[in-house]
Amino acid sequence: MAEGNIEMKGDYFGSTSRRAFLQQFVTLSASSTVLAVAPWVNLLRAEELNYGSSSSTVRIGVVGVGSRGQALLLRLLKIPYIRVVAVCDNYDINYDRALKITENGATGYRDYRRMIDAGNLDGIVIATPLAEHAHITVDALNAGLHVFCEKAMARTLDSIQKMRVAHEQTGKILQIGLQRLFDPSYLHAIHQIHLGEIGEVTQVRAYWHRNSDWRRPVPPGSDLETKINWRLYRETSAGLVTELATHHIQVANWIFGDIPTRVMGSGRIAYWQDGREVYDHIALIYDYPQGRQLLYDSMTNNAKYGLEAQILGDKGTIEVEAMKGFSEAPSPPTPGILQLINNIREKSFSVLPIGGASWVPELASTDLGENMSQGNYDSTLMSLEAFAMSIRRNEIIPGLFREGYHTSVAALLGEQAMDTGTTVRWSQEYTIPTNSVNEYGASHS
Amino acid sequence: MKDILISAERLTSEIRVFIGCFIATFLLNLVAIVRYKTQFQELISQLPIVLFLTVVMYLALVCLRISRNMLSRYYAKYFGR
Repeated sequence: MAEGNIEMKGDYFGSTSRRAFLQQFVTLSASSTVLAVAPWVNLLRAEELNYGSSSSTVRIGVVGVGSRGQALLLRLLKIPYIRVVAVCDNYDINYDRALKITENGATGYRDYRRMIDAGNLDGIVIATPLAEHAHITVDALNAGLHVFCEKAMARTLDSIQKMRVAHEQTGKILQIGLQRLFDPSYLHAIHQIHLGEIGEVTQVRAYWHRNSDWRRPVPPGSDLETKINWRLYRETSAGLVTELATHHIQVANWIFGDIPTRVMGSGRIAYWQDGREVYDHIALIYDYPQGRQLLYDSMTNNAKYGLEAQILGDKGTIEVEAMKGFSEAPSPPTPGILQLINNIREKSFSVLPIGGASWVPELASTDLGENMSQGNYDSTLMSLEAFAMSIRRNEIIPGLFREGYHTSVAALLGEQAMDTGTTVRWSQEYTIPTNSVNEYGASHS
Repeated sequence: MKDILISAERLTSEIRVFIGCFIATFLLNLVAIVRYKTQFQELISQLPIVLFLTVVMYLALVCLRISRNMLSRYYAKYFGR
């Protein structure tokens, strides 16, 4: 799934009309199984969307309008009841571009504090480098603003905890940018899983392979290397685990309905010997209760397999990124006469211990699978719309913060596991219980 | 080019050989089912394979018989009376 296509053409939901797309959420929200695992779907009902009075307009400021911030800004501008009143970036190129995108309709700031102090905001969207998420979020929440913060919450576990405390103490909305939570294909997959369509799911296998150095151009002669390529340096990012793995860690947590008990992993710089500090190859194993596992790997010098999250059950498999479902119908045994011919060819008539009387290679199924696509849509847009809706209703979206929080913690524990070469256990202090007051529809002024 | 006449007797003979090949292959299928402990419904489900093997066996026999006849004629011509 693309990180964000900033080409906003016509109907921003792609080929599916907005009403038809939202109708899917109405249908999904009728399912108790979906609501149990995705209560935020309830918000996304077509009839809730009222573009009537100006008093329902949500005033948003965007902090950090680089690559991802620009993508978010373009989407925010398309939502009728959102007004982008401010943009903030301390990098001139991003700053100028953001103002141009808003056609100078937004006020520009180079210091987010001034933007917050200026008032006239209901919420902010944060898309700065990871290491800056925490202090901006905490300041905004303490100033009475609601916050949409891009994943993966923060650079350190301590910073994540500070964000959590600020969210709980202020009662303001804190939504983390994990857009698969709003993806109808994922919601449909979750629905199918909870109906037992693929049986007992014991493993999620996810990967994200790219073939690029992950670098952005730096003006020659400048000292902006660590600012622009912040994803490659430890002070500002944990690399692949926070920037990519978080998405599929969130998916696994969601599917299992649980959080990991421990994680082990290996990371290394195997290919891009260019001064970067983060790993260019990572492999992680997250253990969950009842023996379930998430296997995850990511690399940046081979893109043959792209990205995928394979949900493996004893009755079937779902590949969610490709939107395909496969049945695990047991293969009939090879007919006796074919086994005989095979053995005559192999000049072997003994009973082999592997695979029974005649060993047949257990090659991958060639089944093309069933299309599970729920249409062409933009889940990032839906996540922003949900953020704005929850501001309008002055209501924290149940369960959403917990998803983002647990995911972010799991990612950083994965980094610890890779760095230390040890198995890192999940500490109870990082667990938000499911009956937390802030997580189930508590309204806050 | 001469017309090739196949007598009724020859045709009957070839049909018997073909049926014999089919029976042999069918029995081979039965033996394989018992040997590899698969399902007896393969006696029916694997008929296409059996027919294919029947044709292969029949053609192999045809080749053998043609070779035998050619050798017999050669022997008769050069060593026989």
